[in-house]
Amino acid sequence: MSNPMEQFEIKRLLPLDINGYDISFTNSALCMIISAVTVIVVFAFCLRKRTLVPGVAQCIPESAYEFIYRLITENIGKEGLKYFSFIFTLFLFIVTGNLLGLFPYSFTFTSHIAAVGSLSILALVINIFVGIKNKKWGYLRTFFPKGIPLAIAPLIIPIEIISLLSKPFSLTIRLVANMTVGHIMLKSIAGFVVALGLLGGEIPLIFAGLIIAFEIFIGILQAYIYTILSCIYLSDAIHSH
Amino acid sequence: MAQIPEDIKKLNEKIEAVKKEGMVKEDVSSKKQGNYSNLSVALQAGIELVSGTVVGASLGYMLDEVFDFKFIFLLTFTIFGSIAGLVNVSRYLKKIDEQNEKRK
Repeated sequence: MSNPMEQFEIKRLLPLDINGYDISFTNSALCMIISAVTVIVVFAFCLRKRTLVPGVAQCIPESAYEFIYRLITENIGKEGLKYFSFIFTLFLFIVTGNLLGLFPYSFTFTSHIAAVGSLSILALVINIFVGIKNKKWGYLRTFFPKGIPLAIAPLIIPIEIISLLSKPFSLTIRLVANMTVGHIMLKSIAGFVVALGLLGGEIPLIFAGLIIAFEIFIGILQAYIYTILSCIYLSDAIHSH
Repeated sequence: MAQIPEDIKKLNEKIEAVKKEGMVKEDVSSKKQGNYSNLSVALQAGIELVSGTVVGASLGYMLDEVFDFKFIFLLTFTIFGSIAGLVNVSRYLKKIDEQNEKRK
């Protein structure tokens, strides 16, 4: 049986080294590009004939649009619509990455802390910028809320800083853990199909099929949760006092 | 008063039955959804708690490395991180409560 961790190995497709920095084009980067291109192609194809009464193809991007629109208005409010494009892109990129990772010989970049962590850090940086833009210097109050005695500032400030920094961490871990576990389970059960062959291999084959269906559901659900949590964090930056 | 024809009466009964069935199904699915969302909230709360501690400990370890202390920062920031994790959990649950209130 092949190693279930093999699927997470990053392979250099185009080795590149600049001043000692390894910026090789990897299978992970390729899958990210495929994911972005897939979204663009699907949307362009579905929206090629735009009509007032949408057809089946037009319904796909419109439903996705309405879904994210509702998500933002429910979690942030109307003022959150300024950041619609960012949240919409984030959701589509992650959901496509999760689903493309289920294809044979593909690579699930959402199972890597580096890839998802970068997105989460980007979300954190945007949150900080939004907070500074809205409240100017008042944003620093996030780390030391009003009404708290000055004497406990040395305790509160590090706690608030850690609290802020742990947000991208928790976002990343949740998605990465779900994707990694699902793929390990899938590969392990698929390995049993090969190992058992025609004598009993049908049972793990059925399980593998069920797990793929479950993974499709998990992939969409985790992208949704990632997006909703990003919205909640953005809402904190906009509304916190 | 004009009498309602028999076929219209039957159709009305059928519509009422379908409506009742639909309401029951909706009720069951909302209960199921509630269970799943509770599970999701519990999972997220756990992750928030752990991530605060991990980030605090990592920050402390890095500061120890930079300032060449043995474990003072690691110890202090792990405690700070655990508290930050608890604060994050309470904020997250408060947010969920607010959302549930809004939906009601």
